[in-house]
Amino acid sequence: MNGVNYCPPAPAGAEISLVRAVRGPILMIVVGTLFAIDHQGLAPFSRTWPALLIVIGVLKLMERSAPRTY
Amino acid sequence: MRPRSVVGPLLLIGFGVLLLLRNVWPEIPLFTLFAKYWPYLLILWGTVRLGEVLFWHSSGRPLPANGIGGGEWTLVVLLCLFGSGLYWGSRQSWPNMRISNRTLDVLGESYDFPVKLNVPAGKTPRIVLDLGRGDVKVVGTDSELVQVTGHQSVRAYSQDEANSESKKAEVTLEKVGDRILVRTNQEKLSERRATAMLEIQVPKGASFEGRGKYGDFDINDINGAVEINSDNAGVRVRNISGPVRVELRRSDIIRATAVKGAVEIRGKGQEIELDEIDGPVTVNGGYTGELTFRRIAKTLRFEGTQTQFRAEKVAGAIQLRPGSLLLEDVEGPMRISGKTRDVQVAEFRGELDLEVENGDLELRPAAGAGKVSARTRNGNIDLILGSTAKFNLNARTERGEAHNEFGSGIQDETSGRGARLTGSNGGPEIQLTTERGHVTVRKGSSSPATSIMPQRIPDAPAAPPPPVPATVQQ
Repeated sequence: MNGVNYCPPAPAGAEISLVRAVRGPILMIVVGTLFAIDHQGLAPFSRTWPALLIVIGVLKLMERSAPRTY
Repeated sequence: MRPRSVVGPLLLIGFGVLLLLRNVWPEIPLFTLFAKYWPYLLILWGTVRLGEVLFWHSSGRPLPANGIGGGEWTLVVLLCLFGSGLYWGSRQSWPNMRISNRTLDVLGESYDFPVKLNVPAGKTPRIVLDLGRGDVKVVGTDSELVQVTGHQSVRAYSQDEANSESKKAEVTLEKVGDRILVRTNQEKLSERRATAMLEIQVPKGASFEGRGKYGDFDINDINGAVEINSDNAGVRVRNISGPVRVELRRSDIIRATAVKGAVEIRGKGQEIELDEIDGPVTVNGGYTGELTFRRIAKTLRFEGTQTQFRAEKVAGAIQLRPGSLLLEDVEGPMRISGKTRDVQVAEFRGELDLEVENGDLELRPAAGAGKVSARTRNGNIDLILGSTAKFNLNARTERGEAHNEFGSGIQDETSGRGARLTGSNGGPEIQLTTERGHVTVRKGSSSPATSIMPQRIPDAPAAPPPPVPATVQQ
């Protein structure tokens, strides 16, 4: 290795790095959706924000259950 | 090599497109649009990044340790703060509050309480309405009664709660001195729980003054003055003999037809349509939609944020749309000034003084046209003259070409990078100047073969006949 700093696309490690990589985009989509719902007047953000916690929790669980390599 | 995201370049492109749009149409309400739609930007951004990660994964490329980097998250947080701030700032008077209201109804039920009130008022009462939220229709009749019918809706979780709330916010009608007061008393409830839908029949000679927070005013067939003041309203007035004054913080449409007195409109909004106005018209404020003025018998003054104009009489029509201003069959002395706008003036009489920064000008003077002075910094100028027109022309471009399609009587000369057209047969002075663009003079009719107006305003549907007034209950 020449000091290149990335997760190798090895089959076993792929799952965990994928879950980590999609975490950000998914959170962003959820935040956007909650604000869109708020602006449509359907439900205020102050009421729907716990959905973010649920999504973060689910992503963490997926990370844990994905196969790990050390 | 680590794959790089396309979001950065996309953001740059989108930002450029927005700024360009704003330069082409200065009236485009960018901030309002952003305040409303920024969450979708976030969704789109997230979707693009998600798509990228999945694509890199499936093509076996290395994935970044985190899908979204620290700098990107900072941008996202800034976007959220900025977007929410704009949204809350503009929320108070949101144009489609109607839709969100309906969805908010899900939180409770709407209970209607009928309103039927009347009071004798004489021939020329002054009606003062404190509407709050809701729509009202005012109709002049031959009776000497003021009658209020319709309903007030109260949102509540149960019939009992609705009953007690409606007692607090009852519609009242009372005579105080020479004034007739109509109140919805909505301020006695917590905000936005009540909405009124009223029809008020008034003696023909009445004058009307209305205040509102949100909702439409529809005023027909009265001989007195009309004054409307609202935070957010659509206003339609028709067949009014007195002066009409409208002041709105926000509106989707203001339409006035067949008004004998002066019309004065102030504030902000989208569309305005004025037709058959016998008195002078003054419009002052920021409007983002289409503005149409037809058959204005006296002076019309328009003071917008980007454009100002003044005409002595509008026998035809004036139409102001994003990026363009069309005038047809108008009388001067006229003054028009604007920033970025194409201007067409057809069939005009009297003097014309026209100046824009960016935009093409097309002028078709009629037989009675006076001195013309037209300037643009960036744009072409077309002058269309009748074959028997009298003129003393001096048209100049500092950088561009001059085209003489009129024929003999006009000389063209080039000088440096510019050119000039001159010619006189003893008519009024016509001065045309562009800093960058072509100047063309050609033969044609003062009124174009097809009207330059894209469309005529359809006449508003006739008001339904007023119901037979009920007798006073003793």
